[in-house]
Amino acid sequence: MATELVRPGPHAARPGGLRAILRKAYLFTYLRGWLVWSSYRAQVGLTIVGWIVPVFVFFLVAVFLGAAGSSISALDGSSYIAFFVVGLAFQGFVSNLVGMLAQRIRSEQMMGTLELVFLSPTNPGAVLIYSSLFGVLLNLLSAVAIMVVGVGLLGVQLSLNLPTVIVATILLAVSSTGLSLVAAAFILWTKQGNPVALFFSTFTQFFAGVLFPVAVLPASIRWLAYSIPLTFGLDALRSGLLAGGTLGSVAPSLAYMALYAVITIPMGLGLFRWVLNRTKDEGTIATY
Amino acid sequence: MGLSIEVRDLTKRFPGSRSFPWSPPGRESVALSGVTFDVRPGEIFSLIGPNGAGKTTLLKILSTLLLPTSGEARIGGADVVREEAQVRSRISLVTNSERSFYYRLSGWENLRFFCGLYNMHERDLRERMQPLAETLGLTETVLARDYRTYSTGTQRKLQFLRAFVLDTPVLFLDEPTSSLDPVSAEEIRRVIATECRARRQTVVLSANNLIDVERLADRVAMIHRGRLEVLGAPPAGTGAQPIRLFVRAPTPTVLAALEAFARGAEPGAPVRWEIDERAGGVVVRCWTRDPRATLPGLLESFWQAGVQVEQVDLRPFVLEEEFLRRVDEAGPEPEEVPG
Repeated sequence: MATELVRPGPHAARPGGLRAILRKAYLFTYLRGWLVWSSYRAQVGLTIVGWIVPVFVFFLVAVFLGAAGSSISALDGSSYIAFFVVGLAFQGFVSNLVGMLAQRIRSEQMMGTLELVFLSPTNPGAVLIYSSLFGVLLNLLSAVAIMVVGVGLLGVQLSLNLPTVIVATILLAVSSTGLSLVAAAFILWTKQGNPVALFFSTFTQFFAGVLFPVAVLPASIRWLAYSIPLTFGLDALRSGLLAGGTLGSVAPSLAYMALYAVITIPMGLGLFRWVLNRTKDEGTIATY
Repeated sequence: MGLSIEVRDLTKRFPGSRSFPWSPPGRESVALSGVTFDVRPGEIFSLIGPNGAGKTTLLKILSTLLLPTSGEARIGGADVVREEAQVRSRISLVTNSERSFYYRLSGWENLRFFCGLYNMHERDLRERMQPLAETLGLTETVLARDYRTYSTGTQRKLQFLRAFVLDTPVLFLDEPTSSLDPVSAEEIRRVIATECRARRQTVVLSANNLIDVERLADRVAMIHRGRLEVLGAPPAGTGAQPIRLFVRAPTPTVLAALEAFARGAEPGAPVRWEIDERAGGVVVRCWTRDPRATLPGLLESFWQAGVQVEQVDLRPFVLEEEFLRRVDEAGPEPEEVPG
């Protein structure tokens, strides 16, 4: 079959570039992210309550056990409250990020817009990355809200090293993207039920040093903790937030998260692409 | 300016579903089987067929939303499987589903989002949209309202506005007037006729409403049980009627006879013809304004070329009758086909 001269219409897809990337980031974050999310007012209220309540629960548990103000060697000298406030803030951040793309896919399937988004010239992989931006911001807000409660109401003492916190947060988000893509691929295929996100949100509370230090775990299963980037992320963040740790002092943790991202993001994208082709073969992209 | 669509021997089989991952797959269903046709640039090509015949499956394959099992489809030369990114930048789709926009965003916000996916700047969108929105009766007030408040007609108009603003060379329309009242349906038909013709967009229109086909299509193809047959132009399109013949001769001989007839015929007598190779012969459809006046000359031409004419059918072509006849001939549908 012969190829003919292609003359697209005056407003057919134009080449991208930084401005196009920023414009799409705005469209996905503000229009499709914020405007849709904030239009469900009850959801907004309940989400904020959901961020804050666990902090108070663990505070009361700590008070009851008499560990609230204590400085324990296993906690590297920080108070238990400071320990779990940082743990909860960033475990929530990461586990929401891991489940977020899957949730986004599911919601697009339900709304019937998934096919139309995938029909556009924007690459499906890019659609996923753009889609994750609003979630990153929202979950970052949740982490900040928990930290504010910790500092303002529970007396957590900060000794901040901002560059460490910023770099660690970015790397923590990026290193979670691979798992997020795996979860998105899962939901595109199975439509309901996401073991990746479920496993991550429950499993990490126990094994990633969220509520108690990894040193407390039996030695035989401690390796599990160190296979999760959140464990390293929390180490770096606690250092940067509570002990003024410099970038150099947390470099091994940062390097581990970067390595994890380099390995898992291509794997996640590859898996998503494979599942997308499979659903295209079965004709079930929009099925929910 | 539209682009051509070339489809060759396209087959789509859906794997049977499994109750559990370890259970054996259910029976495979064939949605399309050896479908071959071309759509010319700027043509409005219509697909008709019973529900579940494979029309939507075909549109989805052409839109890159579904992978064919075998065969090839190209949009402006780009393969829908191997060059899907190129294909996606050349096409837009209007579906019969109201679930094609975000309910919690306004019409304008939805347009900004979806046109932004095509890298369209907001300024371009406004500039481009204004005359089209007026044509469709989508005022600023309407566009400022949430999509969830729109009537079915307005929802469909917003889909057309999105498609026309994008101005892609190829437009797929899947049941564009279904569930619309007669006034809205007529309005939509008028818009398709005016805008698509003005832009010379190549349109593939899948329709159950045969009025759409008769009013809009340049050519019609029928899909039934996954097989596609190009029927020709609908009667209302050109005022032409068909002479259908079944002849026995090699295809080049039949074509040579037709060309000889066209050269010798009076101006305007034969409109055009199509041939379809069948086992043991060739089906010829010759479209002309006056079949009874044209037939003697056509038979003479075949006789001189040594083409054996076995059957002649002068019955006028009425789309609905043709549709019902073909479905009836094929017998009852054995099973439902997804897609």
